[in-house]
Amino acid sequence: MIAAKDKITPGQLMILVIQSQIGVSVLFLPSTVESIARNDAWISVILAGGVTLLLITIMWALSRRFPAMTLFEYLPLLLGKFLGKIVHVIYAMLFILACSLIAVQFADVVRDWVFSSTPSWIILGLLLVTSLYMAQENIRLIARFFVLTFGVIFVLILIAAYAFRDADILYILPINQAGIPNIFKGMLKAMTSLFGFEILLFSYPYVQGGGKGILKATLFANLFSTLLYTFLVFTCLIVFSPEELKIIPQPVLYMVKALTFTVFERADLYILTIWTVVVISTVIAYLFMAAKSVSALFGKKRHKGTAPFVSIVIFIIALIPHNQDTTNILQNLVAIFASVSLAALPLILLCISVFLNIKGKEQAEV
Amino acid sequence: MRRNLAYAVVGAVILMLCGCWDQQLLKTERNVSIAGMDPGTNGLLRATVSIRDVTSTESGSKDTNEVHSVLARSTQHARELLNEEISGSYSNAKMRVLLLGEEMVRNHDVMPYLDVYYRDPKSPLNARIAVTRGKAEDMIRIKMIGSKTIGLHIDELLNSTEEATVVPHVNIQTLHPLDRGYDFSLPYLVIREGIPAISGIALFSGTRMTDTLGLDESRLYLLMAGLKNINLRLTMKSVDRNKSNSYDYVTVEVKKLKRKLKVTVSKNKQISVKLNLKLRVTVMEDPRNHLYKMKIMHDLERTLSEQLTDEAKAIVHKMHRANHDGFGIARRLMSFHPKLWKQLDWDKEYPQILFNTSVSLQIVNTGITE
Repeated sequence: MIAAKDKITPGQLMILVIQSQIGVSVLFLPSTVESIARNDAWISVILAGGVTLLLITIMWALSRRFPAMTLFEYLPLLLGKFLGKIVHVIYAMLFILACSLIAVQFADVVRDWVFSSTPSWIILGLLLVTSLYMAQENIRLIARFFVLTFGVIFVLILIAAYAFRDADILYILPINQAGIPNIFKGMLKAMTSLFGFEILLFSYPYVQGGGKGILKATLFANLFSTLLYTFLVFTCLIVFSPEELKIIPQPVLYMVKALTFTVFERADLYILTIWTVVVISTVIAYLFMAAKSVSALFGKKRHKGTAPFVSIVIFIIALIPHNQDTTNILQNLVAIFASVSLAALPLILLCISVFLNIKGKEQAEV
Repeated sequence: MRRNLAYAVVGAVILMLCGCWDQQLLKTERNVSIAGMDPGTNGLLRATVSIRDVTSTESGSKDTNEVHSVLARSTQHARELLNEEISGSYSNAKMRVLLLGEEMVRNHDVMPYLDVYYRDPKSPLNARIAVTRGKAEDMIRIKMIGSKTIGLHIDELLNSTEEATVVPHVNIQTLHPLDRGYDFSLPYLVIREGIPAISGIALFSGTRMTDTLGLDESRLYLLMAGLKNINLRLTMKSVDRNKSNSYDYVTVEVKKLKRKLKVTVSKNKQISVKLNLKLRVTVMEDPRNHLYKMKIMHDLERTLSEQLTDEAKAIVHKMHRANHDGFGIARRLMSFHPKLWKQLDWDKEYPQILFNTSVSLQIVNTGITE
């Protein structure tokens, strides 16, 4: 049983999911999707949001059958002890690798844009130590912290919106220039940036109220993230010509770099500062999930003791990539793990649960 | 308690020391305020910079500057060479204006030299760009105008003329000419009696400068491109174009601009452009004082409209000859007729496009006298 004082409200859950979804890719997404879907990239992002909607619903349906348990408590019930452990390890690997990837991308951007001669272990260390401090706590405190920092996302939107000054709507025409297959390929790329909703698997039993409210909150969160990403991609598409986007990896930063307000210059530094907060919340979420899954693997109830070791592992993995190739390998690895454990596994688990009629014993108190 | 405090202090100091890797002290940096590029001998680049210094004395601070020129292989190489010439380390993060010599942009592709500006995170992407008649170096060597350094002077000159819609607002970022679907134009500077002055705009075709427009033409050109800034004044003949009498001029300020640009493609693939301008103006100066009669007012509207239409046609003709697509016709074709665009040889096609230009003008008010 979970005590009422450890619970979070559906509103907090919504922000928890938003903050875990919106992360590093705020900067990368426009050019990665554009490289495939050309000027129809914004359609790809909306489609990706639609598919995520489906994945969330599956995950929610699975969690609803075990309303008082987290993923790792009901995994053995569904798959048996041995198979359950294997799947458990896959999840743990996903969270650790995804977290490392975020850290690597963060360090790269900071090196390219601001601190060119600061060694990356310092930047990684500062990022992870700050996140670790928060990730050791329980989900209620994390949710509260996320609510507190939620406002910065709107500042990000405001600064980006100022770039509309240089925009030319003609750049997105003609629609469907890339062709349907490319739009769908772009969608797959865009999917990775919407990952983070898997925190639902960990937070479901902690949310007050019934299952419907939880679904609603998560779907709203997904809608918000999708809209934010679409807005950013759309803005970049109409500010830069397709040829320019090809050579600019972080177009959001680039487009605000030349903005000069009366007193402020270099708006990109402000965006980077805000973005750091956004990245830290994503790292907190992933570090939390990684620590939870590792501690469950060793049969521990609390994750506070495991979290430092997990962050050391992440730190070491994040130090390995020294060039674009190794980063790409890591990226592909995360993509594979994510598609297995976020798309395929929940569906399989749900099917097993429905057909063998395995359910959680106790209902969550309303 | 004491011990915890000590740990906290030591921790904070160590954290702050992390910033030392990337420190750049203002006192050791020499900031460039204006830079110029000219073609050198043997395909080299002649780069000239003016470095601004502020010396404060008892009677207040005073601006001074020093000018350096080097012959370099590339822009970054020029920076290295300059760094070997000046005290302190070279920094262009606060650069305000980049001047391009006319010969540079007429006969050379300037884009390779700009690459470093787009690549370096500290580069001044919001620096203005202008073309100078003759060499950019000569203009920078003027050094001081009154009590202002040359960089400051040209920056403010460009800023005020941008606001008066004499020259377009262009900086290094908006220049980035990769497949935008239109050609850019830059302010054109000359040295008049030892002082830099605006003489119009330089028209580009791709990355090469091909022609210039005078001051009157450039105002109308910017109106036709839909780029009206804060204010825009036109001074024209009000009666007969061939007579000259100081009573025969009228100055109007454009209050509102309505621009319609339509690109149509006929069945036999003939592209035609319809450009329609509607101006609402205020009369700023009219020495004849006849405007209280409605008939005279309407006559004036008609003569001015006709004059502007004729001038607009002349500008389009000039743009055709210069192969300068300043209104983004190519962009519209890419967006609305993508299939046709792929078959076109744009450089050959553009001069054959039919332009149907018309300007109509309406006087809204006449100031506090009629």
